[in-house]
Amino acid sequence: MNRGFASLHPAPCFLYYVGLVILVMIIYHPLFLLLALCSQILLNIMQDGGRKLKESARFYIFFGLFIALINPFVSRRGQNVLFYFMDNPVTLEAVVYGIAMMMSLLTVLIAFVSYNMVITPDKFMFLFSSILSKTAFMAMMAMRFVPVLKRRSQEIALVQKTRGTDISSGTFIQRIKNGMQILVILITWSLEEAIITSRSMRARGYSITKNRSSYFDYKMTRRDWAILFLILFTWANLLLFWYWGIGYFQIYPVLAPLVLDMNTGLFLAVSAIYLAIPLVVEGAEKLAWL
Amino acid sequence: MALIDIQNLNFAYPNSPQRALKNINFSVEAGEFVVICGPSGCGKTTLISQLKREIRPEGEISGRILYRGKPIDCLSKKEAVEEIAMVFQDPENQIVLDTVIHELAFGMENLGYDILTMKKRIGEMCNFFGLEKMLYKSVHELSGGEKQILNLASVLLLQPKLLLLDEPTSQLDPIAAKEFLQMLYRLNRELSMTVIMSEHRLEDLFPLADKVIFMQEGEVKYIGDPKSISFDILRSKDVTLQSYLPSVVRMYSYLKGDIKESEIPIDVREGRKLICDLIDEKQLMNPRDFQKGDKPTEKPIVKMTDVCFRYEKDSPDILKKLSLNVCPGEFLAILGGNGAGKSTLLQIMAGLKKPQRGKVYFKGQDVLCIKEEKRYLQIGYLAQNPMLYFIHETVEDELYKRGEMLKGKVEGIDELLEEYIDFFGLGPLLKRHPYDLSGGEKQKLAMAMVLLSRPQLLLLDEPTKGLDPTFKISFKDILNKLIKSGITIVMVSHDIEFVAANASSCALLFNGEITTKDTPSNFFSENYFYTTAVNRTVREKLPKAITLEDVIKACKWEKYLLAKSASH
Repeated sequence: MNRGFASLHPAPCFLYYVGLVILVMIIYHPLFLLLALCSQILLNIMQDGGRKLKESARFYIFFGLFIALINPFVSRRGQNVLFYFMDNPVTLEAVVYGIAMMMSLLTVLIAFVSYNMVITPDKFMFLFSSILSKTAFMAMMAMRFVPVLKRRSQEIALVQKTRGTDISSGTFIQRIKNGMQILVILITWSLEEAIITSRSMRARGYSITKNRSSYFDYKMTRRDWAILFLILFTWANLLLFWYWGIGYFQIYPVLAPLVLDMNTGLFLAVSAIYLAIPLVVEGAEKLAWL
Repeated sequence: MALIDIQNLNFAYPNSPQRALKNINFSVEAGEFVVICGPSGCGKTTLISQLKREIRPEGEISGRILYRGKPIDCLSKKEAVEEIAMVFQDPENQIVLDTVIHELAFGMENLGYDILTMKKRIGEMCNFFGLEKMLYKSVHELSGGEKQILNLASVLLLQPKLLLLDEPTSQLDPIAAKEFLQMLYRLNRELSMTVIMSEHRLEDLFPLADKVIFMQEGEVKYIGDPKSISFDILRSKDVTLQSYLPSVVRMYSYLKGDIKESEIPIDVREGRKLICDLIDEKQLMNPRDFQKGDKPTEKPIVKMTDVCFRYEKDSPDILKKLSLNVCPGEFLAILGGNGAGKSTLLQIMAGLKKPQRGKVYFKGQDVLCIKEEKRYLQIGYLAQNPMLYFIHETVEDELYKRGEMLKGKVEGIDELLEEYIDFFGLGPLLKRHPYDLSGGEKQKLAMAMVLLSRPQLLLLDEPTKGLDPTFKISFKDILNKLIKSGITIVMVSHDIEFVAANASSCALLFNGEITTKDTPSNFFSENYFYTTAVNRTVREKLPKAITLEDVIKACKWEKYLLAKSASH
């Protein structure tokens, strides 16, 4: 569905996600990370009601907690010792760092869920076909084969079961042997069928001209240019802030207090603008239909 | 000037002593609809692929193929791709990419068309074929018929002058096949597209074709419009060739002693008028009344009670409280639309899939309680694709290794092996690779392998799909012999004509249940269009006649009665 943020040209969308991932990897300010995490969860909810996110939410929560818990018990850095665990100090700094790391990783993972909804394979193709034309085309062809091979192997397994070749029973070695037999049939059969595919490709003129064109064409509209500019501008600003040390939050060796001065305020404001871009695009469309 | 002119064309595959094409001479005018037919292996596909340069097989070639007066090799690469389009037999494997829109654009992208042209052409084509709704669908979600329409649309986007099709409907169910042919007919009539198509089911093609070419062993045997070619073949008295003609034509020739070319009916409409006049209204006997109505009173060999099945928790029900009994010695054919769940039903019957509710009993025993090893020996299951059965390098290995596996489990396996090699005519093929066999031969080999375990019940999944009339005749004999030897057969099929002539009972699977089960004559004669061409032709006079044999029998009876009344 090309709606909301996904209705933009793929280039600004792609840059937004790449920019976001870079930012959450280098900036460890807890408020920034919290903002980023919330913005990505909200984006997912706005895009599909959080359905895709829910499918893997359990894994993300488990993974995040694992990271947050493992750091304080492994790292011994930091000054403020909270308590000792098996004679090892557990420090406040390590706890905070663990939480920051968790937020950073979760943001990347959740952003990737929404990325998959926005940058569909053909948009990816469009972005990279000029650079990696052969590879991109092969990737597209391979995608057709995933469900085909899955269905074929199920068919073979069913038939071979009637002949006593079953992968779900027997000793381990026997099962491996049977699995191999199914694989052999799958490969021979698929190669045989692939001849037809290649004939069909030749019949439709594949590789007779050097410059293949692409049907998928996305034009940069004025809105796309404006949003691209905003993304690049805010992103460059944030990078500058980072370079100047604004928005730097000291965790190790001693946890610095969280001060909200002018500079940090400005940094958080710019971050908020960057993070809110897709939300505003989504929200504007939702508003139009109220 | 003819669009295609073939002069003295000869062709031989490398390392093959025989020529695959011998002295082919014919021409095709622009706008003609040409059908090439003949038994499989007669050179139809070879001939068609000679016209498409990109896929022409390697081999020794002599003679000339002229395209608009110029040798076909003089066309530029781009012209050759654009002007001559080709659709292949298998709907699935000629698709290259994963979504409909990508597939449509593929050919045009290859030739480097600009975006505006592509958008315009795709827009227009989608309107013609009604593809808008599936534009962004994955190709796996399409049915076989939709896939073939997609293949047709994607080659037409290059705006070809000549459309080649290699048995395009042989893998489709009858309804999808008719739809596809209608589409071709529209292209031919509305856009004057030249069509050359190979096919062995002529029933639906005769009304569309301008020219029919009949090939046998690499030669053009007969050529002409449907009426004249029917006339020639009928006069030749060659029974094998005659089995390729539509049943209306054969019926006409039987009923009318002296055939006239101009009179030969080529579709049901023409046939109805003519044949009804030929059948004397007086004293007709319904042919199937002759059949002994001995209802088998034995216990059913298969009993299915309230079987419910779906693939996943949230997927729709495929079978809904289905109940069915199969009696020993029965030859039951299960018919039903595409995706009605016929194959699933067969797999459940074989004990390969477990229904969510309901039970399947095989000879009074729950099929799932029979030990797997024993279950699959007693119930033979032959899947739609025989290739799934082959794991060895030669036919011989395939059979003997299977025999070895069954040693000790099945009595007299060695004698049985020899018997089946003979019975299925596999002797000359023993040294070949199973993948190199023709479709019908593969089917026979797989069937022999299944039958080696001496099953009492044989389940067949569309065994006649895509096979020619010659094979069907030999297949029919095989099945008859198996039934005589006491095997019960359940077959799932789309092939109405085959089922009507051979099954002992027919069942319709619709909406997840068996809605009717009856003898073929009762089953088909009540249907309006889901019945044989013979029945559609003669139903006014002989409502219960569904095959040519029925009509012949009825008329013999009639003649007998007439003779009797004359003698009185």
